[in-house]
Amino acid sequence: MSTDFTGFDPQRILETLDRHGVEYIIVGGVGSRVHGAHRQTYDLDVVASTTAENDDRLAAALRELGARLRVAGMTDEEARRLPVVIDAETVRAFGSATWTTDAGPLDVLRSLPVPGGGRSHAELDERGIDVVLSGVAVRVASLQDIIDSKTHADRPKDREALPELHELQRRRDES
Amino acid sequence: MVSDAARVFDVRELCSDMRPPTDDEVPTALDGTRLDTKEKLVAYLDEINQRRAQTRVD
Repeated sequence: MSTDFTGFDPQRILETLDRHGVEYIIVGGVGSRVHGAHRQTYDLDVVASTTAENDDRLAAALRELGARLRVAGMTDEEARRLPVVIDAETVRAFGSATWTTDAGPLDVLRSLPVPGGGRSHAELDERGIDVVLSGVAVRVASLQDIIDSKTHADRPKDREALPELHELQRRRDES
Repeated sequence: MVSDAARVFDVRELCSDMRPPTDDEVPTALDGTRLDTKEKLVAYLDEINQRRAQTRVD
């Protein structure tokens, strides 16, 4: 993977999404961190609302961030030369889009894969929590939704993360 | 609207030890097909672009 990580600026990503009025909810490792987990994170994962208006807003934000699609084995130069038109048509064609932006990696999902299917932005939002990240008001998926997604993904890094997340959930249930 | 009880974090601190994305994170098509090589991704992008062009013609 050729991602240049020295320029990672999650605040810029959040501010850009916010300025364009993108409706999204944070999931994945950053969401886990908000809930108290200590394990390392790898990128910023969000589930976006799939309305036509939001697809347009998301595309505009991605264009401003200089987004290009990311695939293992492809250099950043190759990624910049891909025949990608970043518009609503492209945004809605991907179940999961792994972007590299000028401010770092941003993965955008149409729904959160969980055992038995996928959870939409609206479903996640019902159970999500409000937080403020460096001055930007955002929604973060519930700990249980994040646990369910990691259970479904079942990659080595997910299996490593789950015991801590279950422990956080257990403590929450007891308090 | 953000609730008054919203917790506040410094996102840079939250991501301070972030590692580069792993190679198993790849784009997927809407039907879940993994686009895990440059060739698959380019073929899918061509489909999207053709669909866009067709929509404009229609």
